[in-house]
Amino acid sequence: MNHAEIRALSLVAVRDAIQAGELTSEAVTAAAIEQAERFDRDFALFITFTPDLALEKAREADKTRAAGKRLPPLHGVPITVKDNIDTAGLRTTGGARVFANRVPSEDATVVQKLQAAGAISLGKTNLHEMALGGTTTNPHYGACRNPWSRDRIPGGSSGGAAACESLQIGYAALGTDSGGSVRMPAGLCGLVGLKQTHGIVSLTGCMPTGTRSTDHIGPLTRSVADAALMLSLMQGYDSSDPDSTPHMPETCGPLESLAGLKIGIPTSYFWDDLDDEVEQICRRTVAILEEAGAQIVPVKIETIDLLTLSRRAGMAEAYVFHEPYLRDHFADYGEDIRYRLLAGQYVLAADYIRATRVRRLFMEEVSRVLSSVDVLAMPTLPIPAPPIGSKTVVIKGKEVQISSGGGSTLGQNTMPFNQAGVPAITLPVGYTTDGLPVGLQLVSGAFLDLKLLAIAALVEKSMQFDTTPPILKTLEAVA
Amino acid sequence: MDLTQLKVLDRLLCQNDYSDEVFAGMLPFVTAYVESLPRLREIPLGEVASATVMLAGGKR
Repeated sequence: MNHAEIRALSLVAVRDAIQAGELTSEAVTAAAIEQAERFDRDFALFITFTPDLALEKAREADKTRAAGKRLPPLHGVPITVKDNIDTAGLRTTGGARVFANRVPSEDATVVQKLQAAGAISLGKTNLHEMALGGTTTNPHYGACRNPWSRDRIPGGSSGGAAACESLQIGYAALGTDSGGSVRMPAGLCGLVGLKQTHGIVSLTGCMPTGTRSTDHIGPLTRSVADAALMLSLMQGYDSSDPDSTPHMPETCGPLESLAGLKIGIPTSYFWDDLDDEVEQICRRTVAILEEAGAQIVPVKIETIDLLTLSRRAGMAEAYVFHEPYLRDHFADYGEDIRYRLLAGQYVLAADYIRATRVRRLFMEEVSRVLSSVDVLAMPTLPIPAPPIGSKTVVIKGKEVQISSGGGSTLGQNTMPFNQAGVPAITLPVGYTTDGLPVGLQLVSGAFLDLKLLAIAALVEKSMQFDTTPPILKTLEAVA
Repeated sequence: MDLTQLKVLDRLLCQNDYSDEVFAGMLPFVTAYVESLPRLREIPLGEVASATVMLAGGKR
């Protein structure tokens, strides 16, 4: 296999090839590094790229295999880690200048778990500053680009993770998701992105956005099976994380077909204010699922409007985390987050409490709705990837803010499920006429993550989306 | 809300000594919050539990 063929393998396939001795970890890691060196400068993929360390670990992995030792499940497989997830002895900046020299003394629990599973980190990927936005146009570490169209954003905040995964730099990317930061970039870059039930993957060692109860660490992959494998290795109770739960997802085997599954389609909000092509592609997908035997059920979620109101008061939480840094390092914060964070100090306690109670109403309603269907389905984002630097977009004749924080168009369909804590996954289902990927989001009840993945695998099979961006096909043709 | 009102609010609650530029930068976000309040305060929430005492997922 040449380097391009090695890179194009799925996580599951490369794992099997290494385990079987058909590929060495060194060859796989070298192929990923070659690709990273080709694209990193132009695409602003990494904040800290560690090729030498990765190759050293790959050679060690090959020695372990040669010695005939029992191999862990991701033995010698290169992945990437978002730069707000702690890595011992390696700086973890959160994409912020204020944390440019922050070097954690311990690995995040999820990093420990993946290292124990044999994974090798290629480096720390770029993100929207402090994971507080959806563009990854980072004022300190560069504007990350979308592999499907280099003048467009990859989304965020896990933009570097998504761009790496799309460019086949590593076989899975660790991202974080507090309002859609795994699912949005996955959606805009033609990938699978999973935000599992809150609490089943430890947050210890994840830099907080300020609202811990909506933070998640989740995987971005090129297939649903790869996301399922990553979740199986990342999950588990962690007594060092106050948000961690001992409950794990309910078991669910592979599903044979979509026949009889109930797919809930919200009748308002989630299918409103969409780009025309995004809407057409997602409605066509739903029609294909119905033809395959799924039962389409209209559902109402009435508290969604209240939830968007309560988000304004919720900005107080992020302020409390950032307050000491804002006081001493105000100029080190990018303009798009510094004022938004400061504004949080004026939220009254009574309004903050109202916000948490509105959130409870929303959680309860989502739980009720999800008990009547197997999954909810909706577009992951209302628009395809916009150009880097654009502030607004016109949807159905109305000009709206792309990523304003606290009310972002990009995150309008993803944020509610961080508030509800239920699992949600995006998978690619089509392309616009400009060749930009469009994602469909599926949502299930809490702790039904494995059923959600099984249903997503059926949808993936029905849609047959090619996750390879044109830039890689051009490269292969030239080679 | 305008810049003068925001400065008054700040003097009463926080006593920051920000520059006009900083107040102007915050103004759109504080305004959005203030404008959301009438509807938020209309909702009867007295008997509703807080989401912060039940972790997302709701099994504990």
